[in-house]
Amino acid sequence: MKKLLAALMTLSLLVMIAGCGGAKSGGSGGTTVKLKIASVTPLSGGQSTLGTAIANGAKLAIEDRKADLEAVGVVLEPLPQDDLAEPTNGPTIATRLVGDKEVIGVVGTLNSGVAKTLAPALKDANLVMVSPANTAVILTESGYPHYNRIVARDDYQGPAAARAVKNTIKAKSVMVLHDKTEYGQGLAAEFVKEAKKIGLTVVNGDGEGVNPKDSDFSAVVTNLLNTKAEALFYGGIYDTAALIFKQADEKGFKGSFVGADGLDAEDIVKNSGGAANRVYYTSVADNVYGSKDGAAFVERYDAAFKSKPATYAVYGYDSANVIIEAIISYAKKNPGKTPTRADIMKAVRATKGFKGLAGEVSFDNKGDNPSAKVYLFQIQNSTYPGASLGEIK
Amino acid sequence: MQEQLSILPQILTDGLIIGFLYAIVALGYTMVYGVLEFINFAHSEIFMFGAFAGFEVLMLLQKLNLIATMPELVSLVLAVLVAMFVAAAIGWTVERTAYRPLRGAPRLVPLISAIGVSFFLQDFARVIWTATRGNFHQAVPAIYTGSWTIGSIQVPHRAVIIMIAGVVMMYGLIWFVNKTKVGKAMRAVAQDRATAGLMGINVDRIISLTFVVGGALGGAAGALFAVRYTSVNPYIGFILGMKAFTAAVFGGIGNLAGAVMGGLLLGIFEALGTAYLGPLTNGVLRGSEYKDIFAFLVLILVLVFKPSGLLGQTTSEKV
Amino acid sequence: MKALFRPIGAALTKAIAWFTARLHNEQTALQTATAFVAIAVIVQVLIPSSGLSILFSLLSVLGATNARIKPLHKWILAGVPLLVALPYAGTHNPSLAPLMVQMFIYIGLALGLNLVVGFAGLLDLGYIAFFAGGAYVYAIFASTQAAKFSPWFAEHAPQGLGGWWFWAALPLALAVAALLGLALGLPVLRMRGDYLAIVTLGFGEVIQVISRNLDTPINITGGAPGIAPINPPSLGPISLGSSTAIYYLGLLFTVLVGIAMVRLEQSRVGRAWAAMREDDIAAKAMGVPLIKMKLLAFATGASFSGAMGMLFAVKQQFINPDTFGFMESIGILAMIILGGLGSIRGVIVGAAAVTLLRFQFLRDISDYFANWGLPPAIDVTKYQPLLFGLILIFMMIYKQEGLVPAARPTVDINALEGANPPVSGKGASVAR
Repeated sequence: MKKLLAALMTLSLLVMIAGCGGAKSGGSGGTTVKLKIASVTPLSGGQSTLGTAIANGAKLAIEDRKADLEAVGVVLEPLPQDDLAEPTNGPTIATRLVGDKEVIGVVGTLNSGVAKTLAPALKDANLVMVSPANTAVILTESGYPHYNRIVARDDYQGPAAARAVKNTIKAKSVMVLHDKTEYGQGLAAEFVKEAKKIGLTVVNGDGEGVNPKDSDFSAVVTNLLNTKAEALFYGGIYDTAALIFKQADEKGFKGSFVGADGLDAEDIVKNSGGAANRVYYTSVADNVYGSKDGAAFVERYDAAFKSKPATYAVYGYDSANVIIEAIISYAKKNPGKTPTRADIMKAVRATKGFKGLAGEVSFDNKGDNPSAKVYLFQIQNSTYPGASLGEIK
Repeated sequence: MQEQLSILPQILTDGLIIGFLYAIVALGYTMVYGVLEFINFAHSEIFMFGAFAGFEVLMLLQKLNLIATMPELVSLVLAVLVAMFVAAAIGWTVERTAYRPLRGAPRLVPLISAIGVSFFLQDFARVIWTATRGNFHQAVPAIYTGSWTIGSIQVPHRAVIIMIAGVVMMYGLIWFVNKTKVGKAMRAVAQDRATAGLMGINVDRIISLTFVVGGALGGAAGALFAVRYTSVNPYIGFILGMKAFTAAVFGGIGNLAGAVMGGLLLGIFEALGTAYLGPLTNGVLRGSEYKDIFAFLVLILVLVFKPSGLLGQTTSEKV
Repeated sequence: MKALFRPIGAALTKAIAWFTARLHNEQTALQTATAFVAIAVIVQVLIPSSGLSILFSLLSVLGATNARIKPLHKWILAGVPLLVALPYAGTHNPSLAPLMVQMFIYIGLALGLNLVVGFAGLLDLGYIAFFAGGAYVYAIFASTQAAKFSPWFAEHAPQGLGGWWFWAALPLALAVAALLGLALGLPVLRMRGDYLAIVTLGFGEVIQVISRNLDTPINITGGAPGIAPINPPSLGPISLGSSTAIYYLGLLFTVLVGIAMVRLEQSRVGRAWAAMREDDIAAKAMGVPLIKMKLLAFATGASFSGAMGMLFAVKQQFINPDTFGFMESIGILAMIILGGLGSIRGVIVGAAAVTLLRFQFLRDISDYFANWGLPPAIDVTKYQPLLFGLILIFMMIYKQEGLVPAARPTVDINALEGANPPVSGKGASVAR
């Protein structure tokens, strides 16, 4: 017993010594600091087109601002993470990001559901998030100091889509489906709310969920034809949307297909067959590629990644740029100081009037971007991206 | 309710179509179970590989610009044949590596191994198609895009293909099992493995063959699925496999005609449930949201009230 | 192939159990164990973020409990890394405590599933459903969710119940999960292994579908978006929301489940289960009430799962239906198969190993490969299903009894023959 006690005493002593030693390590005063901006999006799976676009956009932003960053002594690296669009992966990825001391900011996520698990796990580490795509209302209503988004929320996008169905597409009745995810269901609920307000008939009550992993949607399609709805609104992502649209078209549905920014990907054209040219989607950016800067972006993107960028690439680019801007402005104000995560978190939230490719970015005290607008697009001649039909008022 | 009833013919047609799909997958389960009294958990994944094989064939034909120039039937037959071959090879390999070493072990052991194989194959497909095509979610080149309209019912050509294939596969299999020498040997092995061995039947070979035939069936079903839905991913087998298994149990597992009957009834039941759950509960429960539960209900009810299924024989459990 | 894997498996088994279990001299065993624990603690504190130091700490705990020393010494030696070193290192490495809690949850789940599959021989592929039950019982009333369907809550506790609810919910979660277990057990009573597997698998899916859709007509589960945030538990005035507090809570839960398991295994019920597993007909002939015992196994196993579900809700502060997928059920199955079906010690080792692999080592490996410029789309952290599949196949083919096999009470036939002669024939019938 005596020996054991002695051993324990030595042990606790060692623990204390080691603890003191450990606490001091970390933090350096060199002339350049190495930092990372992580992106958290699906890089494989049904939604990888969107997720990869965001990750690539962030990469391109870091590449483009290299010189500016080096001028203030920062070497920045991208750290793309794959969340497979599954909320369960949020905490795992968060652990990894928090553990990597060089990670200073996060671009992501694509899916609101993933953000819901990722955001709380990053909160204590003060690791700033700028989402290029999350629309769930609750995310900015939870009082997170580190969570920001550049896109419009469900309660802005959903109603805008409803107004577009009534005013631009000129349908009188609409069937509402969603994919039973945070994003899709939230969007559909806001769509239905506005539709009822402006006198647009929703033929199936408050909307109906489908299993996005299913392949056969004949039941809902039969129902769609039976109700004689003139449009189909789908709250969800392009992979399932394309399947439903195609099966509806094959069964003889002649109305329009409407969705939000989840449909904004090339695969919606490729996979929806004869339905493609009746697909409308909303987006928070107006025809980015028409402008001079936009065209240049497409060119650089194509050169770097050998593919045409989906619109989300621009959001990813802008989101990363918001963080980069914050790093640079902090470094200019505090020369020689290594920014902590909390510093960057505060600097990002203070963003006002940043001119991004997709539009202006400012953050209010919740982390929402009040300057976000919503535009309507239609696929024409089976080509992606669709033609802009202008801002939805 | 009146307008709900007016779509009844279409709902029944939809149910019948999906029922044929369950039926052709169920044939594979019931075939293997009939011989080995063993649920081949990996069958749904072999089906999935068949779908991917069919997809690859059609992609190749499209690349060579043959889909547009050749008769559609040639593309279809090519896709199905290649898929059958690939799936049969996988079936054979799985039996050789994961099941054969465990013959004679306690019941739980091969079952757990089969679950392992199923999981492995599913993820393996994900890895392969992520690595080769950049994404595991793929759109299949479309053939047979037209459809017929009979009165108020609308039937796509692709669905008719599955119906025809279902009937052909069922009768072909019944003929194979009952009339051929190999089929006779299979029945002998199913009845009494040891005695069959004593009668000069190479039991190992017959079991291998069972998996090859079962695999080929799954492969054909997979290719037909790819043609029908023009979309494949590694997870198509999971839910479909469970429903097909339910169909096999429903019809009486081990009985080939029963599997088809079970598939059709399950398909119709599911379609009716999905369409009418909403109206029946006054919109409180939505059918499409509970769609996947109907098959499970059928499974539980059958197992509780008639475990031998519709056409199965009541057998006393072998001790 | 077989010739290659057998020795590797044997070597692994030995490597895991070698260090102190073989030292018969108590003094030497104590010294070795102490030294081992001391080194592990130092390494853990110096390098808190490395997966290897966590592994080392856990091995030291295993070694200490394995050693042939007095129980008191065992508890003290195992307690130092678990009670002091790991939580301390956790304050330096924020990812450590959640990882450890996840491990405790999986150990608890694996022990519970082991009761159903390993003790009673009933293959349950929908085990995660009970976990979901427990998680929802706590989460619904410890968040704003309850106010969405109950006017009473909307008026009196719009933010959900406080931390005391955790302790009140515990028996409720156990009961709900046990009832779910009975609900599953009743229709499957007469089914054999393979039917049972498919039905339980379906049950797991159904519970997921229901929890996803029970936001209408009354919003009970929060639907697909799930429930967040969930209030942390508290002990009197002290909030147990910090990751260190949750760590201790998890440790407490797991130790309690572990003790319950050991007691159960040695009880009359445990022996009845074993008899049922080995040969249900013989067991019935010997007077084991099969139906009662099967239901008891389902209900008991389920209630452990429910308790762990509560812990999970506390740890994540967020639950949604996607958290309770089939992958989790298979993951837990892989843990108990790897460790050794029916072996409590083995199951703990298996659960710890698979958790470390899933959440730490695959990540380390993928970071390593990422430095080589491999595209993130073929990131090895996503190879979990592949890994589970391989574990199941390889263990079944090469080592069915697992890495740390169950120590069954064995009877020496020769000794028996001396005392009372065999009843009839040779001793072979006794050996079976």
